[in-house]
Amino acid sequence: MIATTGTIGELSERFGAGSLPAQSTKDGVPTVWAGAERFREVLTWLKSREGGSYSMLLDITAIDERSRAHREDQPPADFSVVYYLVSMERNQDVRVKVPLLGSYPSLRTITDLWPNADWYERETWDMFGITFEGHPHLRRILTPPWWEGHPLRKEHPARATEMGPYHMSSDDAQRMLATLEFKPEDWGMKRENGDHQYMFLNIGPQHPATHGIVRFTVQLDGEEIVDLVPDIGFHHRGAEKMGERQTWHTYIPYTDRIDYLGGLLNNFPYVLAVEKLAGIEVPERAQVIRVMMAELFRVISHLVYYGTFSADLGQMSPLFWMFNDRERAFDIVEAVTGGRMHPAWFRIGGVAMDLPAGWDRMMRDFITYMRRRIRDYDVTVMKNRIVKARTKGIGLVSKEEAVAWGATGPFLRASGVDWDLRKKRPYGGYEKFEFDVPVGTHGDSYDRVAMHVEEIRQSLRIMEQCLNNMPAGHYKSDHPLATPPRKERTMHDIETLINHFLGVSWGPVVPAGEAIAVAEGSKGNHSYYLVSDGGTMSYRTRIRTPSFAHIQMVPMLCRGLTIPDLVAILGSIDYVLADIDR
Amino acid sequence: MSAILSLAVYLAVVVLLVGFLMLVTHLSGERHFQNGTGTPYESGVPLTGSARLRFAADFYLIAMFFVIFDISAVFLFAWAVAARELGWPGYIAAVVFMIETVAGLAYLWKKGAFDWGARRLRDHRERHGIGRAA
Amino acid sequence: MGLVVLRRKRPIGLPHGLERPSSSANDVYLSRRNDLIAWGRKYSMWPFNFGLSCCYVEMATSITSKFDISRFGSEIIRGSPREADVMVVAGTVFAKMAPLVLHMYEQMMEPRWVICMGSCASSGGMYDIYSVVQGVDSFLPVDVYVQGCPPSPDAFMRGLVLLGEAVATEKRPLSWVVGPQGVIRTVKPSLRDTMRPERQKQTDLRSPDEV
Repeated sequence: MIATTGTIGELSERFGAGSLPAQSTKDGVPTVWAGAERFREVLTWLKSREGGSYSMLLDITAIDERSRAHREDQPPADFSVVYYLVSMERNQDVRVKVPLLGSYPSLRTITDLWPNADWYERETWDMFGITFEGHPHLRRILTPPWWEGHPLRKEHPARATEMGPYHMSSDDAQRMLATLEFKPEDWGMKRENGDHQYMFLNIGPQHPATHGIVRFTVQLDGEEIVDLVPDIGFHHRGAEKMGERQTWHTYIPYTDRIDYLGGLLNNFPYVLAVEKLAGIEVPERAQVIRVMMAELFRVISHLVYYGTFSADLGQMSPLFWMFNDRERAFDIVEAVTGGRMHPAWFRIGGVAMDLPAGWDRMMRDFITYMRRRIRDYDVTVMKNRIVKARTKGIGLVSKEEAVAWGATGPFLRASGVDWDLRKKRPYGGYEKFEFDVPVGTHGDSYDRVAMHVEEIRQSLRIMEQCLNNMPAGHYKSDHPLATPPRKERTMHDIETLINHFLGVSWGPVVPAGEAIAVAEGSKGNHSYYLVSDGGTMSYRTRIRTPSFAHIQMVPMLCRGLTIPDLVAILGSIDYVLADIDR
Repeated sequence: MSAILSLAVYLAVVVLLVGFLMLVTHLSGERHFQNGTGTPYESGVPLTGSARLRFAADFYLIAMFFVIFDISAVFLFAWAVAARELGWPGYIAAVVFMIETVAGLAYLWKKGAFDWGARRLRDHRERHGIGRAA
Repeated sequence: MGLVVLRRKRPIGLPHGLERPSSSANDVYLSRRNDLIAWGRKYSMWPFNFGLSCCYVEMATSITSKFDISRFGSEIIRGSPREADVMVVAGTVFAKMAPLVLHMYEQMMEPRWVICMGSCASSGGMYDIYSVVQGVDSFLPVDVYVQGCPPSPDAFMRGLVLLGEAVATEKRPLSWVVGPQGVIRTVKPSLRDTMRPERQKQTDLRSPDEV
């Protein structure tokens, strides 16, 4: 699916054959290793390529290599920092890895190359203890300021029950709260500008307009926002560390809760990544079922977004109507999967069970109903003069800014960049469906919302095609790593019994390797980068979420505006807290 | 005399009633005094700085405009009470007064005094090449 | 003011096996005025807008028209703890958020109650991980635990109604200056146990192959 245009060949040409050893991964993404002295040169060169530059930094993360057994084809390293770049012109990705030795290594920062490297490097420092020299504000981002240790290091305990009983008295709480006090001097902010003083206001974490527990400390000059500092980490659930303690199969419910409005949309990239690692082919019926349920959840997620956006601007009723529509969608989800918000229904190799009889009638009713409702909501929300006055021209993002900051999904498309992975890199069966991808013009809040509304219509279109063309067949692959052998045969020979027992108790033992699967989630590019060491559990689960990149952009979007504009902007950026903090 | 007496009785009833209500509400219910109870609420986190700040002069300007136009309105009320007795000359005087007030309003509007925010101040300074605290 | 003491002729029927604990202070507390106040509290429990995580979406769903908790008296969700009655800890209690939870609980005015919504708030749920407190009851007194991941809006409403019923039989002091202090709470049994006979009567279970 991803065409290899010889990036590794070009790199060898430029930097000398053999100076950048390549690593083969199960996902076909060109991966090279660059030493700490020259990785910046490599990244700069990649960013400035003629005829297809790698203009977007999608992710920076690290891997603690100290307990990894199967890494024969890789340079020696205690930690490796992974840079993942995307080129939209070439439609190709590249992964640059930097090997580091030592317990607490350090590396130069790349915040001067890509502005969004700021938070990614902070996260890598927080999780691994790798210092980035030259970083403007290297401080903890996901863990609280009073935390000791770096959680994703292999020696840090994973479970809370391994860390002793939790005690917090009222005085302890006050001491911890004192560390959370915002000090403007830490961020280079002045408290006054000569004649008048600035007010520093905390919006959040407990606030109805922040859509979750995130804190925006705003520097106000009267009513105008001079600067803003987002503080995240209040919703950090350690999903990446949890991946190292759960088997490949039992991790699926944890993926549901990353984008908690998206349900099955979250399972998708994870099972795709495991299937790449294990080499599992998914049967056609399972693919179509997956696409249909994923698009249904896209509609569900966008309805919450739409409703809360209009509620933020003061319209109370659309929220209630859209949640009602969501209930109808949940009737379908409950009938098919048994769950509501977090079904955890996708499986490695397919889905958990077949569709129940009568599902097509429910689906058809819902699609007809929803089409009508979306038309009505257009009149109430999108054509409303106040909504337009409050969102047009507010929170403008240009194409270059959006790409430089790593925006993806409807946020990116609102700025005019036509980049939808379902079209550009079809996965999981999307190539078989006919649908359009809305692209905006101005990149303001109104456009972002318009993208989501149009996407609801397109998702309904995809669901209808799934409904009309559902193939017969198996709902799950019969690859041994996807499905244990049949129970009846376990009584006949010992190999079947052993494999069945291990498959059911341990779960699949996925061969060693690395693979990334990037999917078009409801909020943007949601990806799972899985590193397997040939065991029953993942060695490293990296979840790159779209909202992390989007919230990093909020200060840039709202400078010079007032707080109501900030609320309109936050309502138009589709984000979910568990998506930011994982 | 009786007017003052009825006023005094009314005042006494008001004071007694309000006092009684406040006393009852003060004494009833439960109290707790924990670490966080007396602190101001700001989304759960401690405050940075206070709200007693030196605000931009724009806010003061808006207050001034209110006072000025409010007093103009007061004059018009005074005129309205005695409008019949004052007759046509009074009406013409009131119209002239209104025109003068509206002219003042138009002048302020054109000068940009109603453009809200410190941005206006900054733009104004940039446009006129004035430095900080001019 | 004087507390009016009336002997109750027959006890108010308590649903779901809630017991009224016997104590010598019974006579002082047991009065029509207290019952009236408690009845008023039961039907106007305003939740605190304290959504932490995914459970909050289900709590928000229970506010919308299909489920509608305002018909049980939870008319308004209050953004400030000073104005709220019930703190619904809806979602996981994170290590960074825990001091804020306690701080805001301290900022709530009496009478105040806490509902743990969801498995994460009750016990850490499926997140036995370094950054999650294993249950908010390690630092907050909890009145009702609602199970589920997330609990469906009906389950949350059930929990809220259950809390209301317990509130109606609570004994709280009328004044902080005069009279016996301390809240005598109603003992709340597990619904799982009280509803077991009903559950065991269900022998006809639907298969998942039909809608």
